[in-house]
Amino acid sequence: MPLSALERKQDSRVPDEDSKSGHSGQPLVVLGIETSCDETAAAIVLREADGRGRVLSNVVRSQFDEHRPYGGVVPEIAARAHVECLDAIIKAALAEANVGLADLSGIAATAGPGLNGGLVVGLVTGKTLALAADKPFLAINHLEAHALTVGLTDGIAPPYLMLLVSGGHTQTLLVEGVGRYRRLGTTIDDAIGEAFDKTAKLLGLGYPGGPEVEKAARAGDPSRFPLPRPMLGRAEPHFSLAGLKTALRQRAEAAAPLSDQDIADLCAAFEAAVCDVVSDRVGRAMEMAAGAFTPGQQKWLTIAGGVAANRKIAVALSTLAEARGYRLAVPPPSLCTDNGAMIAWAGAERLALGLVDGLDFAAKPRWPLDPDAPAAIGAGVKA
Amino acid sequence: MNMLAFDTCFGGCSVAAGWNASGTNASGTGGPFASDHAVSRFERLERGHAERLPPMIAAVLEEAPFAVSDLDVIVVTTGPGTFTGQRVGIAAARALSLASGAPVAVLSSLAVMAYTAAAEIGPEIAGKVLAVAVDARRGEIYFQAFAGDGLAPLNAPTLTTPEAAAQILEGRVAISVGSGADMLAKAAQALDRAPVTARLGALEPDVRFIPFSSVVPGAGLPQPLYLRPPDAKPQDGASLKRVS
Repeated sequence: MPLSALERKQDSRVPDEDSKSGHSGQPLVVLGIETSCDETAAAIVLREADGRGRVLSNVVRSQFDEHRPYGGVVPEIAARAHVECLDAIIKAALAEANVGLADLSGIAATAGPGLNGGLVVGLVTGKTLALAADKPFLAINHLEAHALTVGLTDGIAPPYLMLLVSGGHTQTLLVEGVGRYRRLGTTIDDAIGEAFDKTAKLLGLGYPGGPEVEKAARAGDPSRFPLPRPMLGRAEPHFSLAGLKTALRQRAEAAAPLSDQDIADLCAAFEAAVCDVVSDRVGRAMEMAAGAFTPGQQKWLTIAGGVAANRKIAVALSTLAEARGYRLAVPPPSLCTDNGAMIAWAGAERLALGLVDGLDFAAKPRWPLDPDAPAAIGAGVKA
Repeated sequence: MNMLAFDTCFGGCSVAAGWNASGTNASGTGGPFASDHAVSRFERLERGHAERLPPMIAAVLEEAPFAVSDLDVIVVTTGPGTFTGQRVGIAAARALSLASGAPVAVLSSLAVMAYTAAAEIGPEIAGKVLAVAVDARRGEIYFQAFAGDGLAPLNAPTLTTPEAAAQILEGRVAISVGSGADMLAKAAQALDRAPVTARLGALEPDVRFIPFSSVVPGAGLPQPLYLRPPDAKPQDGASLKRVS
């Protein structure tokens, strides 16, 4: 028996009425726990019998202050912060939703991908609560939770195309159903959010870098510093950010010492290049996904991850979607960045299908959504 | 008194439930978890505490005649230990406290090692010092000493060199136990101190040896006792110069 079959076992506590369609059965109330990176989060989500979702509470504590002196997330500092406040965050989420542990249908926690120390804290907490309250436990893939969020926010059902852009991930995915994902493109070096953070660090802007670069770019001229657009027009669907980052560094070093206007122009140039790259790469993913939609079916493009909060990227994708006959769905920023509600929702969707997990489930720091996807040439662990 | 104790700080994972209503066990020796009114589990494992602890708690509670909601106290070791291992125990204790409302009592992992070692060594420890030493790498040990009679701690858990630990022993005859026992015995010998005999080099904490008297429910929530800061340095000089 393959290991995956052993890990994903049926559970007698799963409500009997649930069907394989996932859209019948009884209402499910699920607690979601998220600790994979630098946000400690817990939320309660209701999944109605007809499959619609509602967020009952969504509590997030960001660790920006802890990591700011280091200019990036320090895994051990993140893990220490998670264990000190996770139980209080869960209490707050339960109180805000006005539910007790006994009212829950299941308990979900992020099991990967992410930083192991943080994942362990969330997983042990979730598994222990599940055993204490005698509830089914659901080990959630963080990327799957991002991918399924538009079902919660907009009621959008698969298939749909998805761009996942954060500090750790840059992927285009075809979401075919719960548990069924086809990875189209991925980055062969840096994630886009990572490139934003490194740019901010180079230019002496604050942490996290994405919002700071965006803010500085508003007063900038994107044409003053010409920057490359790596991978533009290439047939393989992947992303590459390293060359862009290096080019930016060279332009910035040549212009140093930097004035506020220099920084604004560099940020604007960087943002414009990222928009062109994202549009081109998502356009390529659209070509690859063409066969997944039946004629006449509404085609959706969705975004998730911290970078989805960037306005210029959203505008670029909106323009692209319109030109290609897609509609664009962008969840609110609080549900695009890391949060517990998406974990609870993914848990509810899996619970409705009877896909529950054992108390021995191990953290998976690396856990690709589509393990069968061909490796991108040159790509490292982020693929 | 319904108690549940567990430890995941070092190379073992142990869980025990005790339900001695009177607070003392029949024989008057050993801990409440060593009486007839107790069940326990112990596994030696270098990693994977997060995978083993919840199923082991579930197995122990299955055999115990009480449910999570009937817990009177949760007992957990806060450290020192491996950082991730420490957090496994703390996270589980906090989750159980949230679910049951029961208070949490904390113990040093080195104290539980002392209780475990004393049960193994027996009367030989009388009149001596029991020195628990765990190899913390980088030439240091996690160290705590206990009076051989009664096992009262003589110092707080500390991270130190074997030489400094030998000074703390102040020339008293001691039995050292744990993966750093040899390091401590050699340091004491080199300093020409009173003899420190190394024993039980493969010792791991086992919570079933915790005596009832050491279980003191706290008012707050358990915090890990790390003894070492995170390995990270604030960055500087990563940014380009600005126009002044």
